[in-house]
Amino acid sequence: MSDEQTPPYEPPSVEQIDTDGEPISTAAGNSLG
Amino acid sequence: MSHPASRRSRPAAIRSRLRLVSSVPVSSKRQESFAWGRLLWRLGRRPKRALTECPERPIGAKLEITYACNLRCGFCYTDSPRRTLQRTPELSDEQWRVVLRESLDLGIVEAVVTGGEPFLRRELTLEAIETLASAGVGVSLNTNGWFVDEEVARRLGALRGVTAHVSVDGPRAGLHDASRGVPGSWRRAIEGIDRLLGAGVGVCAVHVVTPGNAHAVPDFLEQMWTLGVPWVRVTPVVVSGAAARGGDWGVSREELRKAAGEFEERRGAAMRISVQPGTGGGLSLQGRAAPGSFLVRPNGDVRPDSLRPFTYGNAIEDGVEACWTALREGWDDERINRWAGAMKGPGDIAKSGLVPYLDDEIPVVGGVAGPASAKAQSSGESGPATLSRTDSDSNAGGRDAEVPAPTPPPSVDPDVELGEAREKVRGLALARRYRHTPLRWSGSSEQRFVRLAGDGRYLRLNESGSVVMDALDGGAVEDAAGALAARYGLDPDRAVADAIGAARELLKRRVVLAAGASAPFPAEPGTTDLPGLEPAG
Repeated sequence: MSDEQTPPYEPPSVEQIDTDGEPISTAAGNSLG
Repeated sequence: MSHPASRRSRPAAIRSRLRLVSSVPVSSKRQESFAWGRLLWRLGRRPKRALTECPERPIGAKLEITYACNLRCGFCYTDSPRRTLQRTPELSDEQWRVVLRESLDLGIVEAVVTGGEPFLRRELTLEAIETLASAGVGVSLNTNGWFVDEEVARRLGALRGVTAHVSVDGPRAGLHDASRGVPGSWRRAIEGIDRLLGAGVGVCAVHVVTPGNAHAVPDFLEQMWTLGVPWVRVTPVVVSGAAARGGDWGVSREELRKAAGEFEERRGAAMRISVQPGTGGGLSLQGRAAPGSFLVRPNGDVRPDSLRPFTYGNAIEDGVEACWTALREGWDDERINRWAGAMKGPGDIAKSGLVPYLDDEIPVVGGVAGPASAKAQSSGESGPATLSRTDSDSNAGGRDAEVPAPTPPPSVDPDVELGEAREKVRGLALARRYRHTPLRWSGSSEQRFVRLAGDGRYLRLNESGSVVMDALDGGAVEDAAGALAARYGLDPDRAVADAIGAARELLKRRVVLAAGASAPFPAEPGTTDLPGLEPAG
């Protein structure tokens, strides 16, 4: 695999989201893009 | 709904035999104790979790299923190797069933099933845990792991609220086996833990730290992290039982805390680490605290806990309820307070004329106490073959008793052995399979949003976290490492380390659970032990 095809690596991360009662799709700081 | 305990009562004739051997009226002593307790609370001189009054119904029970053990630990706080040699008689299976029934009737919410090594009475131990867990009681099991085979792991994994506390005294066999006195015991413990984790059982690895193995605590923490253990307890030796016969058991708690702190800086908080104080300066306070639970010795005698070697009747002869009533009314005994008050430092227990588990217990009420009461039967139905009736030699205390000699491990190069141990642990961890819990996910390749069906929480995973999550939908950690290496061109060791860490995090966050688990969700974190009681021996 060439360098162009290898995506940059960041170690796995799993974080809990505190939505504070908001729907997950609109809670502050979340982007589905 | 009325409490089960209110529906039944012991005959008065049986209850009346449990008389307080005290000239001070119970009611005034309890009031005095309460006031004293409040004062100590205010002064900050009571243990954090201590009760100031004995509750009407017990909160928990510690059940010492057997005296016997297959290991030969020189520090065993219950002095089990000596008991094994003496073949001390203990309750039969049917008698233990009665104890269980009556304990449940009293309303306990947590229990410790322990020994000796409880799996020397395998069927009884499994039945006891199944009975307790099925009734909604939180169960902590203390075991050395030797007898944890696939069936044991599967049966425990089918239950909710069971935590197995498995003794592991180091990162490699030479250290552990020297502590435990039987070659092969480290391998059996590690393989037992792996089976339990594979079946979805909550596991706590308990490391008894001595001057001989303290230097290896950092390597031990790494090994447990790699193996996937969610919780580690590190404890100095409790100087009772066998440990009180002699030996240098002192270790620096500060060094242990430092090792735990450095580990957390390196690996984060994905593995819970408890550094326990051992027994020492706190005993003078803990020993005076009101018991919220009771302990049943293998012969049925009832004590407040592992610390106080004073008994309040026998669970079979008098009934559990009557023993608890005697304990409630008589726990604040001046003899116990005098005894506990003398324990100011770690060495004071060994110097005492009454060492828990080494000397015969003193009956506060009743008068049936002793390590081999006449009513105890052969361990019978499922007991080990080594336990037969030999009543004659078992009631003399343990100070001068013969104890079985430990078998030293073979001499090896410590560095070579540590390298082999790392490979073994890594191999077990990489081969463990996981599956998803009930969940849904959405998002993009950069970030994934997961909703857990169990509790409705939302999680966000980055891309590499999603790669691991996908691999663990029926796959092993080895598959996740392979997927990371293939996608990002990682060095294999880095891929393995990151896959192990991510699997731990996904398990902790309840995204995955062991493929062999029968429950739909990962095991709940369990309790350590009952207040005032001690860690796995």
